[in-house]
Amino acid sequence: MDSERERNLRISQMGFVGKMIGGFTHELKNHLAIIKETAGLIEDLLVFRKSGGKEDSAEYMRSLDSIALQVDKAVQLADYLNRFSHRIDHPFSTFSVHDVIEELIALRRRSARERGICLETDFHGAVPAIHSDPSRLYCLLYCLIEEKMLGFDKGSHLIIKTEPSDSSVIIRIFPKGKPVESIVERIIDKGICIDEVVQEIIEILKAAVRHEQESVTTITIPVNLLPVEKK
Amino acid sequence: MSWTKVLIVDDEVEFAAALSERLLLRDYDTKAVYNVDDAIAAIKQDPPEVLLLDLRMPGMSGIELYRTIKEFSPSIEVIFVTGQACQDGDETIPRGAFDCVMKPVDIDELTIKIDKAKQNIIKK
Repeated sequence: MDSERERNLRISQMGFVGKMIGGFTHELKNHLAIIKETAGLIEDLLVFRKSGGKEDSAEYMRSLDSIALQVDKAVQLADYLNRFSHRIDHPFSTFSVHDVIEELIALRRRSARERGICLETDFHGAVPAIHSDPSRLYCLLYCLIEEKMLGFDKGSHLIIKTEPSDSSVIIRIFPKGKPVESIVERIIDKGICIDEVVQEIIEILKAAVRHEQESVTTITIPVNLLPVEKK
Repeated sequence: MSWTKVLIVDDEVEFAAALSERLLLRDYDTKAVYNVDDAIAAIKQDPPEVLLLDLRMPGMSGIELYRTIKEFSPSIEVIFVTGQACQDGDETIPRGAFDCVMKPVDIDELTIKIDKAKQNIIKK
């Protein structure tokens, strides 16, 4: 790989990780903001009202339940980031495609929600684990999902389906909704999903990406990127 | 200063509701709405003096909503409330906005900014 391509690939992957962390921290700050406001409200009620009657007790309980719920949500989100970061700290590993999709969706859900797009999954039970490059698969799926999100209007759904096929795993992105009339810029997320980089990742993963009818995108990933040589 | 009319626009319902109640306890005449359509309807029906506006919301960004609101209610002072940095990132706070605070919010800092926004309206 020449240095220019290598550099672009590295920039793209750094940018992708940045987007994932940015999405995570934004969402985490929202949970922390709710916790802070709710705890502040309990303090305010104690300071401003000082009655401590039954009505106040019910409000305290509601607020405490809300705090507990937000802590649970923040922990779940942190768990997804933890799984994501440990998965990409090895260049090659054996992992479940379902886990990768689940983590990607969890960490991009906020961004999808802001665009009014709902991300869903429909996983096939018999999809095998794959031996591949998780960081590049993440990056490829990120770009393909971003492209779809950009191409569909608010209120749309993106359903990510999986199925096994011979020595491959097939991932399909099914959009349901109204396509936007024109995508102003083909390049999504400047510097991350440029066409050459996406093509490079597809080659490295020995994957195949097809854009089919009704805007369905099909990604075929080999189960074993580095087949074990028989002695 | 009391009874400044404040409208909170944030799709995080629990956050907006708790903040609304905290401001009410401090004598701010506060309402909260959780989406863009309700925000526009609430402002047209009963314009607030100060708007606390989430920077990122489903359907329309806070900046787009800011521009829409300023077209029909230019006197409203807008304080952006954001989970991101106020100046960095893809979206930048419009120059005409009064101020910006970051989540999690410091209630004392926020009330100082609301009071300053009110004073700004009085000066005008």
